[in-house]
Parts: sequence; C-alpha cells; structure tokens
Amino acid sequence: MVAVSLIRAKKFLKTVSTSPNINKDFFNGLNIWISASSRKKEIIDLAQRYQIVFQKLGANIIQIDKNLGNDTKDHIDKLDLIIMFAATPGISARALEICNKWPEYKYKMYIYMPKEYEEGFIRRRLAEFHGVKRIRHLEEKSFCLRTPRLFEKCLYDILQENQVKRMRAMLAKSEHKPNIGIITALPHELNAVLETMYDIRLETYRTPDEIYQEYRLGTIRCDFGGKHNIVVARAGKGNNKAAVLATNLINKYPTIKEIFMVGVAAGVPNVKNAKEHVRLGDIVISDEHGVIQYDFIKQNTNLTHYDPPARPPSHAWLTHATNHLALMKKTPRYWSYLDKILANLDVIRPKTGPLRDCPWASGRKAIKQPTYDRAHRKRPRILAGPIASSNTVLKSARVRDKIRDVFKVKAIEMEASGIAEATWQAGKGYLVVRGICDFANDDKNKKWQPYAAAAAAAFTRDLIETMPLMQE
Amino acid sequence: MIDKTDTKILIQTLMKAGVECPRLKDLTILDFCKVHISELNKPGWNSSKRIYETTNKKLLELVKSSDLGKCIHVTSEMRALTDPFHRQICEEMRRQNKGGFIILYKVPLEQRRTAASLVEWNLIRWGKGKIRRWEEELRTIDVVANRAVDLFAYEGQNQIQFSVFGHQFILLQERHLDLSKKKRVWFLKSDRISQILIIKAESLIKGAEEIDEGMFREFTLNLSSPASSRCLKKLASKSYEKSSLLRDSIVNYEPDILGVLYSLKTMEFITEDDHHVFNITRKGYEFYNAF
Repeated sequence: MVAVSLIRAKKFLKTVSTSPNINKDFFNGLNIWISASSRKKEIIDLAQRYQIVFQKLGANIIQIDKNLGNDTKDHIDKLDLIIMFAATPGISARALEICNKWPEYKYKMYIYMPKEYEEGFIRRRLAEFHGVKRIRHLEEKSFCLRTPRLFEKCLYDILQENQVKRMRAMLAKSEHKPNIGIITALPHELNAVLETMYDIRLETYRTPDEIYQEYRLGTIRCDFGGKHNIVVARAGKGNNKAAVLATNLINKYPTIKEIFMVGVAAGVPNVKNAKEHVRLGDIVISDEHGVIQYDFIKQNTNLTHYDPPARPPSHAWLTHATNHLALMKKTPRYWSYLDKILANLDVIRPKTGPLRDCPWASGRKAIKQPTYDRAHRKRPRILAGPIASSNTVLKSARVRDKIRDVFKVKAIEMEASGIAEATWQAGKGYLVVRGICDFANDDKNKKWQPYAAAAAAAFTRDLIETMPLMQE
Repeated sequence: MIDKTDTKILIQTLMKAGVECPRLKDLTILDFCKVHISELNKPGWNSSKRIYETTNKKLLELVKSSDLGKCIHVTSEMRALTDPFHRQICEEMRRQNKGGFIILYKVPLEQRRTAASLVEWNLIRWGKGKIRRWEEELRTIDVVANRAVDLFAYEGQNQIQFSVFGHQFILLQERHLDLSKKKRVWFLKSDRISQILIIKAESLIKGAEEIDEGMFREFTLNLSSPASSRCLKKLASKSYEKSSLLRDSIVNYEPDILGVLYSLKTMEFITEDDHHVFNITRKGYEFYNAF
C-alpha cells in the first residue's frame, strides 16, 4: 500500500510543480514532525503511512516529545514544518500549547482540522489570537487513508516549504558566485574600486594556522541585463603578494573567470610622438602583448638579456576592450563615473605640469609635454599597450626609456606579472587597467595617485558594465 | 575632515536626540561622513559606503568576539537591511543566538495589516531613487522572514535616527527629512551617550507596535509557492485574465491564491491592467527561470 501511495504522491507533485528538477528534489532534507492522535486507530494508520511516504520522498521525520518540555525547544527549532492532524481535541490543545509557549513557531505549523471545527473555540483562538495562518479545513471523512484529499493538501504544503528552501538556496548561490576578481595594491585603489560597486559585503577568513584573508563581494550591473558578481581584494605592493592573492582568490572562488588588476602605474612618456605619449591621469590597459616582467633576465658580465615569458591577457576581455575603445563616444560614460568617485572620495584632479625627468637640474630641464589633438586636456585618455612589471620601484628616466625602447611599453608597475602568472597557471584570464600617476623618474611623487586610481576604477566599471554575462 | 560646523551640528543632533549637555570630551568620533545620495555629487559630500562599512566591521568584530549589548536601530525606512554586509551580520547574530537587532521604523497603520501591503510599502521605500533589483529585495525580505531582526513600527515625526550597539557604539544621523539626499553621519564611541540613547530607544519601543515578522515569511511562502510558479509559467506563454488564472486546478490546493498574485505584483514579477489582464515582466521571467 505504501508503494501505491508513493506513486500517487509523485504523480501529484509532478502535476502541481513546474520545476524541471522535481524528480530529484521532492522534499529533500526537510525536517518534519507529524503530530497526530495516538488513540484513534484511523489517524494512527494515516500518520504512519504519511511518515513513510514523506521519508521516501526525501524528508526527515523527527519525533518530538508530545509533552513539549523545555528541552524540546531545540528540536522544534530544527524543524521546517509541524504537521498537525487536529481531528482530536488532544492535538488541537497541543497546537495551542505550542503557540502559547513558543509563538515564533506558529509559522511552521500546518493544522488540518475537520470543517465542523471551523467555528470552534480552538480554531478561533489559533487563528485570531495567535495568528496561525495555515489552518486547513477538510471534511471529517478526509481523515482516513481511503480519500486522497488530506494527503494531497499535505503534499502541497510540504512542497511549498521546500520551494522556500530552494528559493533561499538560489539566492545564496547567486550571491556567492563571483565571476570577476579585482586585485588592487594600495588602499586608495581599493576605495576607488569599491565606489564602483553595489551590494558590497565583507568576507573574512581566519584559519587556525593564522592565515587571514579579507575579500569584498559586490556587484556591477550589466548593460544587457543581470549583474556581474565581483570579488575585490587588496594585495599590497609587489608581484609576489599579487601572485599569492590571485591564487588564493581563484581557489576560494572557483567561479572566477578573470582577474583584473586595477590601480595606478607609472606612465612611459613619449614626447616625440604625441599620439603615443602617456600623460598623468591617462589610463593604460594591457594589449595582446600583455605584461612584460622586465626583471626576468639573463645577466652576463657585460650583457643583460631580457627573457620574460609571454602572458597575454584574456582574449574575450581584450577583444571587448578594443571594440569598446574604438566605439567610444566623444563624452564617454566613464567620465561621469570618474566624477562621482572623485566627489565621493574628496579627490581633486591635480594640475598638469611639465615632464620633469631631472627635477634637481632647475627649470630648464623640464620638458613640455606634447598635446595630442584628439585628447581632452583635462580628461583621461585610454591607451592600450604592453605593461612592464617587476618588484622595483622605478625612479629612473634612463631605465624607463630603455624599457620603452626594448618592449614598447606604455606603463610600468609592480603587480601585474604576478597576476598574469597566477591566472595563466590556473587557466584563467586577466586584464590590467592602470591609471597613470607618475613618470617613473626622479620627480616621482604620490600627488596623482588618488586621481589615477579613480580613473582606472571608473573605466573598469564601464568596461565590465558593457560586457554581457557569460552564458552558463 | 570634521569642521566647526559639523561639530556644532553634532552637538545639536545629540541634544535633539535627548542627550542633555553633550560634551565633545565625552565621546570619540570614530568616523564621520557628509552623505550625499545623488548622482550629482557636490564637493565635500560623500557617499555613505565608507562610514557604514566602518560601523559594520566594528559590529562584526563584536559579534565574533564579545558581548553585543542591546542593538537597536531607530530609523525611518529600515534601509540598513538593504546593505548586504549588515544583513550578513544580522544573520550571524541570529546563528549565534546573540539576539537580533531591534529595528524601530515608520510604517503607516493601514500598511501593517497584510503581508503583501507591508512588504509593498517597504519595497517602495527601499527602491526610491534606485533601480529595484529583485534578488536583493528578496534577500532583504528573507532576513526579516528568518527572524534575524525584531521589528517595531512607530509614528515618530522628525525623530533623530541612530543605532546603538556594543554598550558604547553609536551611529548617529543628522536630522533630515525622509528620503533626504543630504545628511551628516557620525560613528561615535561613548558609554554615557550610548546609555542615554538606549533608554530613549526603549521608551520609543514601549509606544510602538510590534510588527509580526511572520508576515514577511507569508510573503516569501506566497512567492515561492507552486501556485506562484504555475501562474508565472502560464503567463510566460501569453497574457491571462484574472478569472482564467483563478480557474486553474491548483487553486484547490492554494488557500490564498489572491495573496500569491498580489505578492507577485508587489515584486513587479507580473502586471495587471485595468481589465484585470495579467502579464509577466522581465523580472518575472528572471525569477521563474532562476527558480
């Protein structure tokens, strides 16, 4: 007979449910207590049959002490549903007792009572005084195994509770699945990136081995609908820290497909070619040549041979960025994002001065920066090119120009090659977006850093927003 | 940077909140922000993200380490819960049985009666000036449904809004109109002021009506019910008149089909025109497909 009931139950659940996964996910893991009279034989049989069927459908049947002692509270707390067949005064009284003792559990209660009880004191007390919502009235003859009415009502109600659980799981799943990781090095780079994100929450991990990790999860909307889930973390300066963080990030959030390095960098000026010249406040993104680790060298007595491995960025993001730049409007959207970040962080764009490669050698050594006709004087311009990276704070115009001449780089920084290596080894993509804050010369200072960080963050937001979500 | 005007307004705000003779030496300003919630930000006014993150971090630290004391928000729209970080902390407090945040907020009497009308009022307030995003709205509703907070509705007009926790921490807001885009916010540390504000909040709680968080649970039950999925599935193929939806066999099992339809409308998953014809929305499709 149980087998027949089980077939009926499955058939009914398939009829009322629209979920394609219903076969696997009937009452998966729901904790149910069925409270029924222990004196009326028909009800005892009914409750026993239901228990077996619900168990076979994946529910956990929990037995609770019917005396409802204080120690039962912990057990009731773990329940998802309390099913009460109030066809006898004892169970109706038990329902009232639960409401009196622990009113918070009234929302777990599904009470099935004969229609004749509809105007009775207990029903009114439960519904009107305690606010129990789920009281079902059925013909008295339904409280037996012969008619399916009560059985179907129970199945529907349990399915509904299961749907709530599934909805929660769905919300939790979508919340914790970042598809993009962003790494920054300096605190104001992190602040600028956080200004571009919504729904930010902090996740910290501290293990017994004293490993501490801090991530910020958030979202950036997608122009094509939906949102990109982002995780942001700050590595500190240098390629080693960046590589470790990128690896940790990928291990912690395996759904990450790409890691962005967003922050500031030194620009590589080119005063002889205005089109190629990088100004303070401009933005450089890594092109197909990617990141050049310029301290990856063979050093002979008289010869330095550069031998960095090729690590090109993500093809998808590179294609998207290239197209995005080609189609960029005269007043691009990221300018308004930049203004917003600057206002929120109280940052003002510093004044542009000459290129001072040798600041100690008086004003005559200052070089007037060339102007490129198609670039706005006070707004960032975006350039794509190779980016040089090493663990060196570079303050030498001579070395900078040498690296430029060898690799044609447009920016020099200290973290991207660590990220490029980590993502390459993990089979993930990367992209570097850098705001230019100095020229890697003796005049290097921190004046432009907050503005450059904001510019990089604003452009990154624009780039991410215009990228469609990945199809599952 | 906090200037003389900001300090003066802080003292005035504390006095309006009921603190007699507040003195700067009685308190430590842990963080300060001149908030401007607008696309057109003016120099000197910031977004509120930083100060709320500082506050949340302190709160999380206390949840993990020590006694939280009484945690009360005296607020207008309960917007704190729309912050995922704050929700995360509320859930953590519930998990650790440290008692939920008591939230006093304003809800008109007529909106308090049914689950859908209560949630609808909240959604409208939370969504003002923002793009409404159903996942975030559902997460916020679910935190309340899960009893991670304890809600009270009060009628206070021009009430100074503040939050107290950890026996000595206070997040204080300059007096401002509801949905105002400009305000100052201070994150303070003071045993004395905290105690005074707790007494003030408790007196407000005494005069307030307790909101049954179960109404939020009813709302989530309605939304995720098989009847809700059935309606969305039908509407995904074509428009339906209300009477036709109500004739579906699932109505025999769903005792509150009108509540289900109202909940779906409240979430903007479906729309109903003047002729009672229902249509699914883009959000409705997203919800149906995600579910």
